[in-house]
Amino acid sequence: MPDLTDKKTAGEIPAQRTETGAAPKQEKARSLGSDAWHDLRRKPIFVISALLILLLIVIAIAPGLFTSVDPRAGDLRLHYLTKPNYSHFFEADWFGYDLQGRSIYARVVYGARASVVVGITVTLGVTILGGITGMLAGYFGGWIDTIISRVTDIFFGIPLLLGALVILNAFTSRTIWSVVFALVALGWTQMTRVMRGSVITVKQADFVTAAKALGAGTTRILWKHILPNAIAPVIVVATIALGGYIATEATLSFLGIGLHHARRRGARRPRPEAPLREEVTTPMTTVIENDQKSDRLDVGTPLLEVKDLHVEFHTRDGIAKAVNGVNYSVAAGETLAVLGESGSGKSVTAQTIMGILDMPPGKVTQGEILYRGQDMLKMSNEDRRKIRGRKIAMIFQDALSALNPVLSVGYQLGEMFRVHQGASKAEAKAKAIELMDRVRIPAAKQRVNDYPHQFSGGMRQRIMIAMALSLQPDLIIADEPTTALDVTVQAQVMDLLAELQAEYNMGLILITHDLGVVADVADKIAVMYAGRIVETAPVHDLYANPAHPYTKGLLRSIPRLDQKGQDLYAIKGLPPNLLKVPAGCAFNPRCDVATDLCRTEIPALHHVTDKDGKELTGRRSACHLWKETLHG
Amino acid sequence: MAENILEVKDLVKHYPLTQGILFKKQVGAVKAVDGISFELKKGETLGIVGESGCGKSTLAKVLMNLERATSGQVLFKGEDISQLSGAALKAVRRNIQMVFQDPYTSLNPRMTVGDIIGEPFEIHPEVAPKGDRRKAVQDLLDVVGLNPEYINRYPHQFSGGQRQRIGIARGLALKPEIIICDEPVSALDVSVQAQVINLLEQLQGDFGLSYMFIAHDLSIVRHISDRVGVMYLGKMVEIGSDEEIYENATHPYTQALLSAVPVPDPTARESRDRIVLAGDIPSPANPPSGCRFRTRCWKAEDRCAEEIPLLAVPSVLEGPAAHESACHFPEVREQAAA
Repeated sequence: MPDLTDKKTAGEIPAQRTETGAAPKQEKARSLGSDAWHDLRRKPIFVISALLILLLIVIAIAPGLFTSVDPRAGDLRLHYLTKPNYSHFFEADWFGYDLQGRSIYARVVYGARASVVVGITVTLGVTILGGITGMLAGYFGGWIDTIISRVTDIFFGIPLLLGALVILNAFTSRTIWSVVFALVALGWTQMTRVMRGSVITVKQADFVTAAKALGAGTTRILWKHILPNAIAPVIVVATIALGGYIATEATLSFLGIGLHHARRRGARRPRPEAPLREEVTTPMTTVIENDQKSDRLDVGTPLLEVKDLHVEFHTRDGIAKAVNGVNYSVAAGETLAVLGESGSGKSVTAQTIMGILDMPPGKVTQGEILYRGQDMLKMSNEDRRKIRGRKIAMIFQDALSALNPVLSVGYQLGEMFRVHQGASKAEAKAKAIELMDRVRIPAAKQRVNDYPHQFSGGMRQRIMIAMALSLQPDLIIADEPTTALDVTVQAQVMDLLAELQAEYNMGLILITHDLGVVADVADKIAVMYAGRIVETAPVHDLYANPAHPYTKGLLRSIPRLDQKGQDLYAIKGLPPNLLKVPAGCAFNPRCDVATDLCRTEIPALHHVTDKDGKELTGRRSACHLWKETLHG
Repeated sequence: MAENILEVKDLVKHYPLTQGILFKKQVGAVKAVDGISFELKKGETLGIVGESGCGKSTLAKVLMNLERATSGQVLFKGEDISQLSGAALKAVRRNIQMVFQDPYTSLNPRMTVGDIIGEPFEIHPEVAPKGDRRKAVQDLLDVVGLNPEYINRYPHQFSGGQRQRIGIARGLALKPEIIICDEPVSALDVSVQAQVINLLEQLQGDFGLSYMFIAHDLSIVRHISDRVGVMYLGKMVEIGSDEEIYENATHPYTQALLSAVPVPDPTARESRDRIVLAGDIPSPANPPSGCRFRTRCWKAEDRCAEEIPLLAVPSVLEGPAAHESACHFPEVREQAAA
């Protein structure tokens, strides 16, 4: 009996499920090495589960240790036993007696062996058989896939119980292995399907291409690259199937076709998990019923002000301070560009303004977000909802995932008018066409019934813009709106956005990492680093004369003509880990001019003056050495 | 001029479009790469630019023999490698390696850094004897600027820029002569991109590598490339030295592409003379007749729909404008702002 290895696999399976289940990102799934094992050993739930499984296995191996009663010996009188016989209560009585007067407890104990053996061997059998066939079908495709898939199709047509009855009937003497054979023969195709799907995903990964490019053979690719990365869903399905096979074996026994000597009550079947599905995201531009014309502000009056905003994320590894006291404002007709790398907090700030931050793990710990002077963070959800979408709309980077793939574009555009303004179908469609015309989608009338995937990336982004504009908001937040687009299309979309902004005198917050896009459209810029604004300036001043070493470094690292053949200037080091932001100025480990002061004290966002001491309007720098940076 | 290390002749890659479940019938083809010729010289960097769908990534795959060419030749030091298989192909792979775009998917998450960089030695045991491999891997880590002690870590313990260095180390392991870089920095943070570009340039000097550098960031391509080729819908539309392409582009698509690139200089905003192209790139399954760019070109005439322009040096032009361009009406555009 390979009890030790069984225990280990059985014990690891639930752990693996939670790992992959809780965090669908690859990031987490891969920490299943030795450190994950170390982690698990300290978790009480894992230790308890492992002990329970161990107990079951011991029962299966040595039922005699747990009861001295023969499960087959019945005494009819015992069935009518009214008072337990305390001398062997835990040996026989406590589960009661069946109609033939046999101890149910003893029968459960002796039945465990069949359940464990059948459950584990069948699961191993289908996993190996299904895993191999699935891997071959998924990896090679073509006719191999066609043949394997057709065979699995046929097997899926056979009802498990009926099939098992027929197969078992063919055996003259039925043993536990004939049951195992029947269940493996009928069950392997399920694993084939799961494995095939998983392999098809993994084989497209770049690391597989890289291995091929190195000249790796098929066996190496399958064994080293595909299998370890494709096995996770198979293990999940196997754990669910394990319970199912035990139940099936019990059912067969109950029907008198399985193992007569081991009849027992059926095991509980774990609830199957919901099938994995692509999450259908609905557009974020929420719509409110009554559409009043909003009073427009003149250029210059702040439409939105963010004051001393702090946002934290509570993660397993600690608290990530994503936003640490951000201040900015945007007026009607103005374009504020928020420039930063990944992890700078630029998108988190925007999501907080929109009220679409995931909370938890996110949490606003401090600060105000004033929309026309009213703090949105203090508003009721209902009031906030009225602003979202209608007054402040958002455009996302990935238009394809922000549009619902199963509804036509015209339906999604018209939905707001139909549901919230009671427009008829025809009216809503007309409105949708009008919006599509306004964002210059050619042949809007013909394309209104098309689905998102039928549009190109640039056209989808136009549809997102149309959706954001449909309720004539005051402010648009565009989070990397053109990053996913090609340069020639990028130009069209940015032009459109700028034009519509001017036409409707809207405020625009443009979140991006692209210094080129910023230079093209922004009025003023806020540069963010590690959750703080490190510099703000009108666009021309920032490019001409940056007042923070980070900004300076970014501008210097752009390849220029006269640097051809030389090294590019590169900011040294890496962006900080938000769980371990360096003390003092977060940029100090990467800064060329950092002093001891920078390593201890967080710089304030200083007002910036010119050489004569005159304050420069709109310019701030969070650097102890802003003077040297700006004038030196 | 240095010798040609790689010569590509009339390379074609079509992906058949089929119908039917059991008996497949070809109903058309996606013409991802449709007759491309160029050469790569020893020690040179050839930049390839173009928008998504222009076939530049397919070109990389065909050159790497990850996809079999439909027709045409890929000559490595004069030998056609496009139809090789088995041991001969494996031997050739030692000479041409690749650096991928996405440092998150290009490293196997279940392998340690040592296993990832050491895998080339397991596949080609003749390159490094078994006892020396660990040392060889640590040397490679050192070469790409990573701590050699990181050998037992997993990819998820590194940032994007560090992972890209691991990918570069793997590419270098077999001491190749050519490295094909497919968008090697576009997935990285802005402040880290320059570091990786510098590393690539430094390695080129140290090891005498030839690069084919595929990217959509035109300023980075200009910085690193000796020559630049512009692709559109499976065709090379223009190719020349960086100066010829960037200052003296004669193909309207190149001109539009260059003018569309956002310039990190707000003072250029008003003076810029941007060509905003109408519409999207057509489907490579059904490309326009004649010149493929004609549907978006402001210069297009009847001739463009009938006659496919050949990639050749136009006889009417002189000086730096006289470089290979596939346009019936090539001319240098007067730029409003330099």
